[in-house]
Amino acid sequence: MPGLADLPREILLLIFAYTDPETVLNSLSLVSKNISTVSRDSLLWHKFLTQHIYPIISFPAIDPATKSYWEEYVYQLKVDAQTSSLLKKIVADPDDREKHVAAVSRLGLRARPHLVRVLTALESSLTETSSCVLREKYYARELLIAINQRHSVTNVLNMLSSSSSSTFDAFDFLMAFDSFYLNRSPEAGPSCEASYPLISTLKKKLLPFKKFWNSNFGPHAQPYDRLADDDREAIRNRFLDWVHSLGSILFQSRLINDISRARTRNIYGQAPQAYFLHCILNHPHRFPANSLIASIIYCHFAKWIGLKASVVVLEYDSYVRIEDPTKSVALPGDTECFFVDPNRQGKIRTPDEMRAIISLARGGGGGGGGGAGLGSGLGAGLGGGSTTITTATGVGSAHTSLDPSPSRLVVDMFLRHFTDGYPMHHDSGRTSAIMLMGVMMFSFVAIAARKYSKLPPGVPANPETNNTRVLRSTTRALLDQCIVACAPQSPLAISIPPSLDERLTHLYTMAMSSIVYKIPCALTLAYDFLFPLVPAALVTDDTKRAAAAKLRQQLDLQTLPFTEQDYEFRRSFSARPKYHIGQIHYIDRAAVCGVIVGWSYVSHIAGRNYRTAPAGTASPVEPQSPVQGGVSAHDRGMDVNTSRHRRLSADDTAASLIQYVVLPASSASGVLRVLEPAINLWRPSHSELIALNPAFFGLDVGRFFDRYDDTRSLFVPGMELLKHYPEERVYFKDMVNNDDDKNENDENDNNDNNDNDDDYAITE
Amino acid sequence: MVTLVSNDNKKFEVPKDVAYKSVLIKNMVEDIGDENAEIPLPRAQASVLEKVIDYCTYHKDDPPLPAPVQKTQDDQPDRIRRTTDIIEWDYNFMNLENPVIFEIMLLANYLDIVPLFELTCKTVANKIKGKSPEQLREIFGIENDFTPEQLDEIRRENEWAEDP
Repeated sequence: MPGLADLPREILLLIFAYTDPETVLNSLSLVSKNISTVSRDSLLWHKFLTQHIYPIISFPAIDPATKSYWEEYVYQLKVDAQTSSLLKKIVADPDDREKHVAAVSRLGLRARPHLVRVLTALESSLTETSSCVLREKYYARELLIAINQRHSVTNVLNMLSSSSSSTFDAFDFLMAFDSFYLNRSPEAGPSCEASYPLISTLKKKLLPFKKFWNSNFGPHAQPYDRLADDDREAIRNRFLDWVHSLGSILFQSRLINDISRARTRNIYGQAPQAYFLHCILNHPHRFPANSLIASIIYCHFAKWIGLKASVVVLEYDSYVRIEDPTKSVALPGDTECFFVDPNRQGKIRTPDEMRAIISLARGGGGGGGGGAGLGSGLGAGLGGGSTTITTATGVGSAHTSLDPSPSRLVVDMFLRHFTDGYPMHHDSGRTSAIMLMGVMMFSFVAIAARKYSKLPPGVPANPETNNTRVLRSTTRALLDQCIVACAPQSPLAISIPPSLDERLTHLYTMAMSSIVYKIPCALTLAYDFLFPLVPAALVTDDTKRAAAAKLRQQLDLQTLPFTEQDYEFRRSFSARPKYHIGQIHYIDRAAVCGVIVGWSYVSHIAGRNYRTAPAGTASPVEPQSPVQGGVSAHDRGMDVNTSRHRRLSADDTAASLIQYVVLPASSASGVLRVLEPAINLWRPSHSELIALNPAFFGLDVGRFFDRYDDTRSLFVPGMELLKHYPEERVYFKDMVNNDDDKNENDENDNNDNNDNDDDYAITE
Repeated sequence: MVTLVSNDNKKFEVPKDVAYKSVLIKNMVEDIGDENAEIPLPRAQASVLEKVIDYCTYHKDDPPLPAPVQKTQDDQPDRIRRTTDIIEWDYNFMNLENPVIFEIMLLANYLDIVPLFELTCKTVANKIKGKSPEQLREIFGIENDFTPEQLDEIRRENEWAEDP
């Protein structure tokens, strides 16, 4: 009669598969040598991983030669035990909470199985509503979100650092980026296209085009130039019809927008970045990123059909370049490619038209005004920032290149537009979204710094490789200083890892943990490091408010039965001391007389009175009078409109000049706008090309200024007015200290002038 | 009727629908083409074969199992195998000595009777669950061939599993 030990290995494995991993590890593996050997069979442990772990988290495929599934599972059990112990400490020990939160964050995705178990266990035992259980559930959920987001960011970072221009796909990047906003499972990665139902629906709709392409231009199709003339003409016409239809189908589907529309449509969840667009870009003049994303989406569909398509980025716009499969046959001459403008319902432009557009965009055509003379000076900068038009040396030059832009450049432009767009949005009703964006800003800094990590210390940014605006004029040396400066002061007993990337990941973790858990010291550390690098310091304020709002929201979403303990749970959260981030102001002096136009609020001292101009109002200002802006206007500086005392709008004509914009000394960018026709800011109608002056966009053209004075000498004619500025740039950290003193004075001033609240009323 | 012959030459007359619970027998009968032919089962002891026939007789009206689906990587992950879904008759039927259960398991595997094979696996797994190594050795009559040092090493390697 056979015994258990006599059964064939295959049957033993089937029996063991009906037990559980703990039984196999703790009992069977200790019974006898034979059974112990079987109990470590890789097939069995792969099955256990598939049943218990992989549904929650997937890892890269294991190389059986170096590591077994058994080792994989045992390691996961070890992490589970650590997570469990840390979660209990987080709940029980508020004093060391930040330390434990950071420790869980460092466990990464592997912490998820236990956290998910905590959540599901609680859901199935709703009677246990003790405060401790509720807290565990709360923290488990928050930690899961934090871990997912952190991993999404790491995905984006890896994508940016590991792929070359040829392998990099901007659409994949957008999807990876989107998974952060939508809190999708980070492992889904680029393959999460299925989660955008509209995209697959449209692909079904476009299937006839794909078939048409394959039958006429595919690898097995009859060569086009061997067809009869009539056939060629018919196919060409049909092809162009299809290209037109592609534009209108995408437009009608609302995946891409017509820029003449005032607002971005709400296409949340339908395409990568739709949510982002909805939240941040619903202002008509913030269309560059909108335009770029539309091009990327259009390009994705065109490539799927089979077209040879690529994005061409211009400074202020983008196009999709499509190689004409009917080239040099139907129409001889320069017709090897054409350009589609996805933002104008797929309008098709010829290469000649594109050259005209590029030359206009470079400031050679129209425009005029004070900036025209600076066009040539900035030509190099423009070329450096965008390889598309690098070779263009003059207006309408025959050498103007219409080559496609590398994908990396497309993404860099996207990042730049993102950071450009961010400061414009201050709608407190969307705090949760803003919080996410604020967090993403930190990761942008990490992306930027990763780029810098390739530079030797002290070397300023190279516009060819670093044209994301997040960098401003920060150098690697400054970055290193920041890390060194803040690490020893770290109140956390966590050693800072040696490599830059790990440090940034670490700091991102702290920023994330601090935002979710309101841990002041982690926040301070992260901010001390990040502030000199973040272009819009308002992120901090928004993030702070949004974090509070999100916590409230999370608590409101508690679905467990409401008990006394629950009350206590909520009360303890709301009673927790709030971390104060000093109000961040910038201080500057007006260069000329004009009117301060407050986008959010800008205050200044006019005469002896301290005045505040709320959004939408204007207040006159004298030369050299000190002005001060709130965080929300930090990035933009102040607009002074000398000819009309009202907020600049699209109705302004060339007659109304923007006299100046001074970005504060604390900002690394010192781009000034001098005597620019207001029309340069706007596109009067979508059918009309406008003249863009590169000088107008300073940094946007890819040039980085190391010192504030560099930009001043370039752009400000009346330098003598600004002599009182400090020679060295003042970094943000210093500004915070100065602000503290200044704020006290300001508050006094405010108190003194309470009676004159109406003083900021418009005066001619 | 199908005639099954055990390795000790004992013959069992079994209705076709009972015999066809075994995929092996079904295939053999179809190969031979004669439903009245005797089917020799050289690996089947009469006593064990009798138990198997009992099982098949009780379950002859059960619907056939769905055909196994070829798994791909994108498929849903393996379901967790449960050992608690045993009906009362099966539970009582399996109330046997361990060696007999193993004999039935091996014969069910040989005759390709999937539900019976799974039932025996579940029964053995239930006997294993929650037992210490010492208890398992006693239940299944296994000799401990580990040295104390070897046992300590395995325990050290598996220590994380003890307090999940």
